[in-house]
Amino acid sequence: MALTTVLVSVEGVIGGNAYQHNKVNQWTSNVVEQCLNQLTKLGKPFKYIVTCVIMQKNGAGLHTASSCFWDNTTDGSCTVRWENKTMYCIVSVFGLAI
Amino acid sequence: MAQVKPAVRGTDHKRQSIAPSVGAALKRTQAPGMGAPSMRSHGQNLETETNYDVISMADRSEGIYRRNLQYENTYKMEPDVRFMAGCVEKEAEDVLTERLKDMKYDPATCKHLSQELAGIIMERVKLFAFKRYKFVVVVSIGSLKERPGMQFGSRCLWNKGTDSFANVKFANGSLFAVAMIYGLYYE
Repeated sequence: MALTTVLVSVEGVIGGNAYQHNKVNQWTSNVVEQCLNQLTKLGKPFKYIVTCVIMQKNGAGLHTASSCFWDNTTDGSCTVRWENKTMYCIVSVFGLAI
Repeated sequence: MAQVKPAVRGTDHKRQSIAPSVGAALKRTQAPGMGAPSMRSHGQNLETETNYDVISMADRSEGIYRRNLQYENTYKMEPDVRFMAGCVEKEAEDVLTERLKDMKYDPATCKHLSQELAGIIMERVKLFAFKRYKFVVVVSIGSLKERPGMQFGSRCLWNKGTDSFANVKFANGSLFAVAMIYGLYYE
């Protein structure tokens, strides 16, 4: 369910746009805020960390790794990769139970 | 075929972290020459070399495998020692500089390098021994040669009094690395 929430938020903010350097800052903030708002509306007893990376499609490579020290039975994460013709958007959501 | 009562596996520590929905694979192979193994006690499980992983709710009362541990309330709303972002940042910066200062970006090695760095930074953060804190470390390594435009953003829903994060950037001629370390208090 977190997956669809995130996808909807990303689509909503940067859906049909091409990469623009001056707008990218605003886009990342909006994507992250929308995701967080949607997740809060779910009303679960979780703390959330949402990270977003927007990268221009330039042939450059990017590797991301995460290491988490938590309770495997209650906490989890989900990563969504979205792209269009000019940019990539990678959103990671980590949910930690209170 | 003998009837086998499915039992819980409690001693395999790797399995303890798998959620029950994942661990409910019912495939079972019997080791040759073994007859009908009794699966009631986990001691026998280890000897029979079968390959199944059934977590039965009925046997939970035996106490061998308890998924939802109930901790007593400590009534502690605040930690004794807060997550010190400054120290963690310095430590992470040292790790990144030490490991990456002469590296060139290469897709194959950087893939493993990012995972390795995330692990190393996590170990260093654990050494600080912040009590009752959960940590999340995210490391990103990318190439600079194509000069891509990039933006990293992050927002968190947490308790601002007790939780914090540290952010470290590093760049040399051919690659850049960004590490984000979050510390969240577990009430």
